[in-house]
Amino acid sequence: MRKRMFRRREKPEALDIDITSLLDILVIMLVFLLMNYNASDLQLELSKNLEMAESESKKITHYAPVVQLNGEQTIFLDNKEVSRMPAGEAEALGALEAALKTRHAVLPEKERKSEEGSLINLVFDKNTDYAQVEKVMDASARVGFTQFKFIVKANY
Amino acid sequence: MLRSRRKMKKTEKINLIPIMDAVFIFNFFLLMSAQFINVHEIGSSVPMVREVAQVKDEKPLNLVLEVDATEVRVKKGRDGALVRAFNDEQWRELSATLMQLKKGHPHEKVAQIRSAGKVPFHRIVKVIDHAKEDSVSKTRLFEEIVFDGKGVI
Repeated sequence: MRKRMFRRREKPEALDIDITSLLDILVIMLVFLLMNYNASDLQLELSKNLEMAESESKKITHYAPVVQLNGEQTIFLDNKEVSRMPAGEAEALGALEAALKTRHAVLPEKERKSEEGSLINLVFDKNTDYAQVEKVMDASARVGFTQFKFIVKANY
Repeated sequence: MLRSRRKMKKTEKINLIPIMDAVFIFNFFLLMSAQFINVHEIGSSVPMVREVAQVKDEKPLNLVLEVDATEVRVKKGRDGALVRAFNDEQWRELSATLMQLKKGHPHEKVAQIRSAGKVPFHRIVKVIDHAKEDSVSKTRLFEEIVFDGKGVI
């Protein structure tokens, strides 16, 4: 009787969960995400009906205002629709120039005068005619954005 | 004689929790910065505002790539003498010609693009790719691409 009273109660063993499969998934995910890691500080949201041209360029993109011209020839500045070229090319480019002027004026003075302030990211639909590309470049250059960065899709 | 029960040695387990924590956090960080469309940039500028270090060269290359819907014409020199015209099946030959021109002018980095208005953008990009680097030997050619400010040809 006494022996039974002082018997040490056995501790229940901690439940062991097999985490090997979970670890496997995490490692695979890690490798997959590492492969897709992009050091660029540019957050690009493509507009509808825009298919980027493919290139072998490996240069990392940088943050700067983004002008997009999609397949329907609608112009976007930082994902906001600015104008539509089919409605009237001169007005559309005028509206783009005005929007870019406002964007350029917002930049701090030091940045505005530096090379950094003259950078502009241009995203064109792959089938856009060069005539249109040139007009957009021209409108950007007139405002002060003279260093064009064409955003393209990697084809490797 | 006492029968002693041999105790089974418990296998030592590695504590994986800290590494799992780190991997989990790392996963979230990578998920946030992952870009599933691989985008890159091609730099260029307009000639009237481009600043170039003045290099004394008695015979500048003045490389011009004229692009239209069917061919690419390579021109050089102040007078724009035609080197050769290439059709859509001669991209390798275009690269070879540009490599030869680069050999003759190793310090030259600028290629000027002049295009017809009806040329699609992807064709221009292809010409730029060939002007910048030879895709086979990975030799760097004319890395500064400048658009002719004179309008379309």
